Amino acid sequence: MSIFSQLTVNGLIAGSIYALVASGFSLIYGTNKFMHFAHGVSVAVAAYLLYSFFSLAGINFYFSVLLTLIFSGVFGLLMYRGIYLPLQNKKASNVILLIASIGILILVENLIQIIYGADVKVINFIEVAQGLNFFGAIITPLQIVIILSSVILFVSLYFFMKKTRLGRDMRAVADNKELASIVGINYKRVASYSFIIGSVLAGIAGILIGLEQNLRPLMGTDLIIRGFTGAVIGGITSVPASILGSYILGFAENYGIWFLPSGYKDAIAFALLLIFLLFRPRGLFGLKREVEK
Amino acid sequence: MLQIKNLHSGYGELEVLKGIDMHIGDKEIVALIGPNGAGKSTVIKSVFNIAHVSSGKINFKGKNIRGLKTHELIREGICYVCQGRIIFGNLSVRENLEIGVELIKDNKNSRNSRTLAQRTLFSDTFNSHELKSLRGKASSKKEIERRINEVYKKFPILREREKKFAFSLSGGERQMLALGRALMLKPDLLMLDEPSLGLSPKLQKEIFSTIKKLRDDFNISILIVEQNAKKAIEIADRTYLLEDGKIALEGGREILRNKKIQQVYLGGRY
Repeated sequence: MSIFSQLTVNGLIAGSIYALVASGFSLIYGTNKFMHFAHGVSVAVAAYLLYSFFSLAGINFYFSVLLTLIFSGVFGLLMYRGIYLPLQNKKASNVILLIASIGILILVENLIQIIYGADVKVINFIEVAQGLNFFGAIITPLQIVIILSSVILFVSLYFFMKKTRLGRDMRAVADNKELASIVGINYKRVASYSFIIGSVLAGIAGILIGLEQNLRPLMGTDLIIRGFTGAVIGGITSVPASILGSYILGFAENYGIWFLPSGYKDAIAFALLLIFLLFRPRGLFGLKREVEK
Repeated sequence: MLQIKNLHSGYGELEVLKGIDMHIGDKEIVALIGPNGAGKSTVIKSVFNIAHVSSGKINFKGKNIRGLKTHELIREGICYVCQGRIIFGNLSVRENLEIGVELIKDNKNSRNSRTLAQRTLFSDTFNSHELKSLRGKASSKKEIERRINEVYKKFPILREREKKFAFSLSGGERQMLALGRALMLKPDLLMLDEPSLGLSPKLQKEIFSTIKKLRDDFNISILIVEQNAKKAIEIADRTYLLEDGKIALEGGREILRNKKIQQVYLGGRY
């Protein structure tokens, strides 16, 4: 029984982290309709920024977090305004934007490696704490923070999308870009905001992951593969569906190692990704007509 | 109201409109008919800067609007109900109605606040006029509510569906929603691209009589691009026939009796 609850808790933690990555990725995909794989490196950049501000520069932790989030938003905006938008203005197709995003991913990951070195870094904010016993499972206070903060974020993201004008405009652009500009929505403004908000979400993911795990220059690639898989499982066009899909992935990976050696965790993610892309590309909760259009 | 002079436009290398002249007067209904591929929709898309305009003049209320960005045209008072996917399916019916209005309100507010800032440079006190414009902000929610009710009065079915996702609407209801959204903006000119597309003959009839009434109820000019030539000519004050990127014919309702129109566009049976 305790193995089951431990795996459940682990799945919940993994799912929360994947969902943080997937929600930003799918938000950006919705308004822009191309795969922003460099989203993974936004997570890594945030983690390394927090490391620089807090561990290297010795700035107060909460202020470091704030700075990291601001820089994450700026980084997202820079990617859009500096790379994607100029390409779009030259009528680049979404495939070209996809290639550009992979280019950014590789470039920035290597920049991180040049600046910080290839060895792992650790942010020592929280002393290794005694885990709490939770129905026979061990969970650390930080892991509780990860789960709670992601749930709070998703609820606020939901209300932001449903209740605010910017959220509604984002849904309108995601629905039909051309019609949106006909009714007077400045598409570039909405797209810029989606990059800022998506990248701040990635920043939060980066901070939480940076506190929980070690920092590695290539952590972004791993995470975007998980986030992307989660988004595909749930339905990439919808943010809530992507979040649910990510939790499903988190659970699948962790329950999977009940039957398989733990080295197969990655294989489970890739197998799920393949299966969904082949048999149900719109995901579990995605609407059919959106993929068809 | 709208004047188009020697307009050349198209998509990329392809030139679709080869020099057309058109005008639309105040409170006039103008129909634009012609065969597939003649460039009917391209006329509207050129005004809205979706098609690429290579030369020519587009003036609206005496102001040159060529080159304005697509999302800026609404503020000038032109609305466009496009063809095919005309509503936001993932938004509720009410959200569909609200969407453009707030943007206009925004623009007016920012204009007010700008003049306000400029004026305070010269005088430290607000005069009563400026205070009034500040109050205008607070009442604009009421104004949106009032306009929504006006649209609901015109299209009662939309009130019933208010909270539903717009993709659940039928073809005719979608067309009404699209018209309603355009009317929310109180435009001076409404441009409709194939409003009867995909509707049953009964609904087509309804839509056309609605369009005709819109002019009187809302005091607007209407440009209607149509495949259904006969119906369009009947409700229009004037009709342009577009063929191969050029205006081939212009006239009032009497062109229904024109030999060529009868043979080619009305099946020769009129």
